[in-house]
Order: sequence, then structure tokens, then C-alpha cells
Amino acid sequence: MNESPSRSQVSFGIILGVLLQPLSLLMVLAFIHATAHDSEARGWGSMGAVLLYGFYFGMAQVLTILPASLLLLLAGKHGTVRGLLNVGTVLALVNVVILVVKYAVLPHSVLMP
Amino acid sequence: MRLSRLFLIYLLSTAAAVATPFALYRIDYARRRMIPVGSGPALEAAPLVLPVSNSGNSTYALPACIAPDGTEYYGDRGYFYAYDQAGNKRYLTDDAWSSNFDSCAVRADGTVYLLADHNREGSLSAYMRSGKLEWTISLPQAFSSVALSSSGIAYFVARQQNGLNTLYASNTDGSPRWELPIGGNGGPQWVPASPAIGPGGTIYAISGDPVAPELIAVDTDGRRLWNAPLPARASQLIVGPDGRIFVHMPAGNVVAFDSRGKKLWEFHANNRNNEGGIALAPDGTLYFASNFVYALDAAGQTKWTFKSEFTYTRGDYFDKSPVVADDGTLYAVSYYQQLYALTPDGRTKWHLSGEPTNIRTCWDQISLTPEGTLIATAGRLQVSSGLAKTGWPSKNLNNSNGRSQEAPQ
Repeated sequence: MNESPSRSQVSFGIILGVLLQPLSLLMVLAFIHATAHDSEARGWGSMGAVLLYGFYFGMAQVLTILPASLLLLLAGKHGTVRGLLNVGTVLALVNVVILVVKYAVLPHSVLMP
Repeated sequence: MRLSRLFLIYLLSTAAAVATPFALYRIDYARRRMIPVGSGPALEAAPLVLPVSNSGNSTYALPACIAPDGTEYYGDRGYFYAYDQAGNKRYLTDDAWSSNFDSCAVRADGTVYLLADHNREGSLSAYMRSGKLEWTISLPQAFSSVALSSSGIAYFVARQQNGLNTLYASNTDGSPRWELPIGGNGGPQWVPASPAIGPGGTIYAISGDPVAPELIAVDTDGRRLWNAPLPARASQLIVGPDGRIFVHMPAGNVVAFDSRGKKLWEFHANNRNNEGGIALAPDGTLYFASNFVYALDAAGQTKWTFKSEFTYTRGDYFDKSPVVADDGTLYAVSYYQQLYALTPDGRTKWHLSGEPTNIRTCWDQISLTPEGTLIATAGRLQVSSGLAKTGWPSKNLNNSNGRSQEAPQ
């Protein structure tokens, strides 16, 4: 593998990674619209998808970052791939931290005595 | 860093993001399982559930109101029909295409009041005991169920098209007696809370203002006597035989007032928003069904709290009004199809589960006859005693749904 990426390529990869994130949400929404059996289910599904993305963006990034990284890897754009992987790694780790903090800090209403 | 190593770190991070919610769920589940709950062995076996011929798998299997002579009235979309004690079925309305049943109440003389909605407006109809229609009046679209005074006057709250709520009094012949605007706009989905009548004839209602809701007291001539602020939107209002008024808020609060509008106490269940409900036992204990079942004494202090295991393992909660029997047994149903009979000291007398048995119907709002038949969606159970004779033992006081503590005339 080429291990000498330029700074501009990495920066481009980071920007591309960030810009791809709304696409992850759109992919989830498109899936819901394609599989929902009626307009009510589509409406609820769309609302739920936005909410789920807010909680699980670290999981959703794999829908765009991984395919884009593989395609760019095949195209030899190793610097851009590095930028993309950096974005994906940060999103995944931040999501893990947020989930743990949410569980540990926020009150669990159902557990209240 | 080598690109292959960066890929590995990315994949591991993503795997962690995928695994974390599942791991946290497992940890939370294990934690919930360790919390002590009221899941000790039941004191006795649950009665047999006897399916009824008209039950099926719908809430229409439950009578909407029961007359003092035992005649049961059912509402199913536009159909409104009665079963007398001999099992004879009689239709009062069969307007299936343009109307939708909402609620009913029965006066002591057997007159039945039916509330229904028709497309964009509602109606209140009175039927004689024989089933003959006496009168019908039109209502705005959103309305509460009725409270019936001992003299036969029907009180109800309805929301006008301009969003303002009005308390109506209707004479026994259906003519308007008076109407009192009580303000507020509860929003398009808001159903006005039902009024209730105190032992002295005073009518209590909830104003529809979602920002600053109030409990209001009105005399029989439609004059406002007093109003008291409430901390949140209210869904249920009951009155004790001693004149105390209890207001249930889905936010998890219960507030008690005396008959002059002075706040006596306020109880915060401090849990999530759900419907639930309250009932008052003859000994003055107020039962509050929410995430748990709370028994509150006359000072609003917790006597006991019943926590079901399902609350922790499934996120279950008690979403219907509890019912108090004459022997003190409390019946409570939960969202996940559990029916609990609790002793007056908060122990499990018996427990029936809609899961995982073949009874998969939701228990819905149960009712208890004076003879001791517990009526649920899944069927009927013969229990140890009938509905309590004093207090406010069920959602609408009794199976007639009269919502009045007045002595009968």
C-alpha cells in the first residue's frame, strides 16, 4: 500500500467523510420508504430514522465511509482513504462515549423508585 | 501509521459502536433483574377465565356501561347494543357508516346516555330503558363523557370550534340548562377530562388550558365557585364521599383538594408520562396506577408501592385505572397484558398473564360487577367480592358511569 499521503488528500478525505454523513441518513430513510407498507408507516419510520441516526451515527457512518474507502482504495487514492477512515473512527468512538455517558448519567425513569 | 493498521482501528471502532448499544442493554437488563420487586409468590391461584360468546379479540367485548338492573351496553363503531340479564341482544343504534361510539352512562331509572361522534361533530342521545330514543342533541367534535346528577341533569365538557372548552348542563329532556366557558385550548388531539359531581351537588371540571390548567368548581346554576391551579394537564378527576377531590395528571402527579379548593397534598410518582389512573378505596386509601401501583394515605404519604418484575424487565407500566373491590382487593392491569389482584397491604393475591399463555388479548379497562364478576377483554372471572360500595372504586365511580357522589333522590 502507498504510505506517503499528501496533507491535502487527507484533508479532502476528512471533508468528504463529513459531507457523506447526511447520505447515511438518506440511505436509511430510502430503505424505510421502500419497505414501509403505507404512508403512516413511512411517516413514523422517517421520524424514527432521524432519531435513531442521532443516537447511532457511529454505526450509520459505515454505510458510506466503508464503501467510499474501498472504492477510493481501489482507485489508489490512499490519502483520501486515510481522511475517510479518520472521520469514521472519530464518529464511531464519539458515539461509543455518548452512549456510555447517556447510560451512566441520564436518569432511567423506569428505575426511579 | 500504515494504512492497513488505520483500517483495522476503523473497523474495531465501528464494531465497538455497533456492539455498545447491545452491551448496554444487556447490562441494564441484568441490573433491572437485580432490583427487588413485588414478585413474591401469589397468595392463591388465579380464578379461571371464562371466555364469553361476544368477546373475540377486541375491546368491544367489554361493556361500555352497565345499568343497575344488570343490562350491559356495548359500543362497537356505530353500533350500540344491549344485553339484558337473560342474554337477549337489542340494538339501540346501528349507524355503522356515519357514527362512532364514544361512551355511555346510565341513570338510576335506566335511561341511557350515549355519546358518539359523526364525522366532524358529536352527539348526546338519551334512550329509555326500553331502548326507545328520547332525544338527541349535537355537540362540538371533542367532548368528555357525562356526569349525571341525581336529578338527571347531564354535565359534560366539550371543545368549541374556536378551541375554547365549555362545561354544559343538559336537562332531562335534552334542552340546554346552562353552559359555562372554562377556557383554554388543549390542542387538536386533546380530549377534555370528564367532570364529576361532589356529594353536595357541586360540579368539578378541568379547564382546558394546557399552559395553566385549573380545577374549577361550579354550582348547579352554572356559577363558578372557585378555581385552583394544577401543575400539569389533567386526565382524570374523582371525588371522595367526604368531598375531597383528586386530580390525576399523566405526567405522574396526583393532587388532592378539599371541597373549598384548598390544596391538601401533591404526590409525584416521578416517572414517565403514561395514562394510568386513580381509584379511591372505602377506607380513604387512594390507589394510583402509574409505572408502579402506589397506595396513598389521607395525607398523601405512600403506604406501599407495588413494583412488578415486568416493570424492570420489559418496561411495563400500569396504564388503566385500578378497580377496588368490597373486600379491599385491588385489581390493576398493565400495558403488557398482566392482571394483578393485590391485597390491601400490597401483596400479590393472584396474578394472570396475557403472555405467554394463549390468552393474548390485552386486558384493557376492567370492570367489576356488584356480584363479583371481573369483566376483562379476555373473558370473565368470578372473584372474591364485588365492586366497593363507597369511595370512588373504579374509573367512573361505578359501572353506570354516573360520576356522581350525590345521594340518589
